[in-house]
Amino acid sequence: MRLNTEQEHFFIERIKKEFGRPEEEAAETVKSLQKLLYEGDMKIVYYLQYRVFKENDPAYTRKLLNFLFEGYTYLYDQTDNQEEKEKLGVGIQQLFTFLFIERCTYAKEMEEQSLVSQHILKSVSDRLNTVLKTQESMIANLSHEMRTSLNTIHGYLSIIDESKALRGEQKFQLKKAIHGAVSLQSLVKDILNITKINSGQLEIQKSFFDMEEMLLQCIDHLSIEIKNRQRITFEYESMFAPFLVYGDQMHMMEILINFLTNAFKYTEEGFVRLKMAYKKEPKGIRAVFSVSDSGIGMTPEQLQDVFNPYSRYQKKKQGLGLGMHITKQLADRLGGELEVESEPGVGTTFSFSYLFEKTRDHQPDVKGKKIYFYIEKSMQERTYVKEKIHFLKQHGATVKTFKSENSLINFLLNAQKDIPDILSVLSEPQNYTKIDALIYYLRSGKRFEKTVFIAENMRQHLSLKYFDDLYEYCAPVKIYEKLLKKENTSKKSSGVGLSVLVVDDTETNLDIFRLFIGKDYPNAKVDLAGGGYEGVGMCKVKQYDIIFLDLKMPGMNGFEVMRKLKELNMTLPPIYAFTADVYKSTYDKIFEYGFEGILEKPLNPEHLNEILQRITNAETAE
Amino acid sequence: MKFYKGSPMQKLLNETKEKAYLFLREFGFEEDELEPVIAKGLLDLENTINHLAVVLEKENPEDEELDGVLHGLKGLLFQLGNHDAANKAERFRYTDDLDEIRRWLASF
Repeated sequence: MRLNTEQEHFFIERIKKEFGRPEEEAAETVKSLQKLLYEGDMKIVYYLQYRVFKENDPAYTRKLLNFLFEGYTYLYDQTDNQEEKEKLGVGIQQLFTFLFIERCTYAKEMEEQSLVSQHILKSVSDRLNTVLKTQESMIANLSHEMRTSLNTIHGYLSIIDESKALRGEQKFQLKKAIHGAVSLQSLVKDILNITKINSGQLEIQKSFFDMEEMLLQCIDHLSIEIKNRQRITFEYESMFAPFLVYGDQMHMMEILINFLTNAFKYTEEGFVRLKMAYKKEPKGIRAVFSVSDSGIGMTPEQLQDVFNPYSRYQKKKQGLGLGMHITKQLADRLGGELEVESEPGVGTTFSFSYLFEKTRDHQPDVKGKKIYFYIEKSMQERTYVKEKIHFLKQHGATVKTFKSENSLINFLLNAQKDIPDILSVLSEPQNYTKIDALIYYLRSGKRFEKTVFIAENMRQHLSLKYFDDLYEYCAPVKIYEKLLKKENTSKKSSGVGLSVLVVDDTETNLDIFRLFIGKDYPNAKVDLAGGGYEGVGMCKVKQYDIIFLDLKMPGMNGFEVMRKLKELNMTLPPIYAFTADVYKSTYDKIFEYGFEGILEKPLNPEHLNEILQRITNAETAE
Repeated sequence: MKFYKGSPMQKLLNETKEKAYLFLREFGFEEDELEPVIAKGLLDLENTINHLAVVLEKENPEDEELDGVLHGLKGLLFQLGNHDAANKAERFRYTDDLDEIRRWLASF
């Protein structure tokens, strides 16, 4: 049996039309198909199986299926011979089995094998991740320990330096040691940062904050650099921002401090300018923080890899050039954008732009407060100053502005009942000194005792003695609020500004401690130490009013810290054990070691306040 | 033993998160003030539990290391207001039955 000429022609034409094959090839395929149908030769099946696999296209498979089905129906309808019909059925069944069912079975097997492989890969990957995480955590811990020890070394070296015990060459060598410790501290900090970023340990901590206040903190951080680099003028420009933004203040500060450090590092003379501007967008407020300098600048090639690690490494400069790499990583993690413009010999501008999606109107607690200003003529038209005064008035403060020195002096000498809560001076340098002397005169006569005198925008480092607070730039409204609150708290706690040290190896405990203290003592200065060594180092460089010490810490535990502090022969403030081990044996040991008392974990704000109140009362009594 | 977000260990984290808000809100703090502290606390907790799991993977973990981790875990749970779990962690510091701790970890 075989296909007749008409049937052969039918198939050849279909193949040419459907699959675009040339006449000869189509004729060969038909021969093979005939061999399968009438002689059981499987060659065509394997060929088609291969084509389906190679094309791997559902459209091709569907086309083939249609062709086979139509061909089968065509031949089936043309024959009356039952035996021939059965043979056709067997042939077509073989084709279907091989082409589709086997393929499905094969696909299923492959899928199962793939699942097994995926499972094995996942186990291996989990294992690898654990190993990597352990390694990274080891580096992080090691860096943390190194930082702690370095803080101690730096602390002790500074004490020797301050004691003026060394002179001449030895003093010079000591300075070298201090510089070495400082660079090592910065390097370890960089390594710790990179490890944290790479291992995903960098935590984003968002809270509402005042952008201007943050910028002033950044400037504070660089204050020594600003003071010492006399050939560089430091400039600060900020828009008045009557709102708080929600974001990760700490890491944003880190970015800006890196910008500033970099600017000072690569500028010999000229200026370094920190600027903040913002605009409202549909999704929130976009702020742009930028730092420009008149430094050495960068070539286009240097600019291209400025954010790569070690890119700006120069032998003459300190550090490894990791700062900008870290900055980029931080900006990416925060979801902000970094930009840099530079020209060799002209200078560089780095900017960080961030969209604060959540903001809150700043509602300053100034209602009924009297805030008076003396604003020197050149400052009177400044937008920032005008907006600030308008804002204070809007929130219920009574604002009076003296526009000349004489009117201010007249007021101060003659005021009887109209006593302001705050009197802020924005003036020429020589006037600050004059007003400083006037404050002394007034206070000697027990006048204006409750008024907080502020010197704003002084820029120069004048030695003013009687102003209550000094600001090199315009003070943000938050500062007035704080000063007014401080006034109240001072009344409550008899004028004591608390200085507290908390030593605990669990960061969460430190955070909660700070939160609790800040609630009732917003002006208390709370220092946190993550371990015993660090705690001892900090005690050496600063006198605290009270110390809270965790007892069980890796490295140096609380009892060892206590012993070490006593060995140092220094005047110790009351030290409280901070512990969850409230057993009798612990109590006995605590008092044996000379602790003042115990503050139990979990921290209870009422107990904490009782202790702090005791301290403030005791100091007032003195 | 390693716990990932979305794993059963998430149960302990979720439970602690809920309790932490309840516990700390009682002291008059606002949501905004608590959010970053609790988020960081939970991360600390996750790390501590992972550390505990790593210690317990060893056949004979060092007593001092295990006690240190359990002590840290207890303090953290206490501070975050999950006092039941904290008490359990404290009890485990004095047990010789390490499998009991392993079972406890696996139960979450």
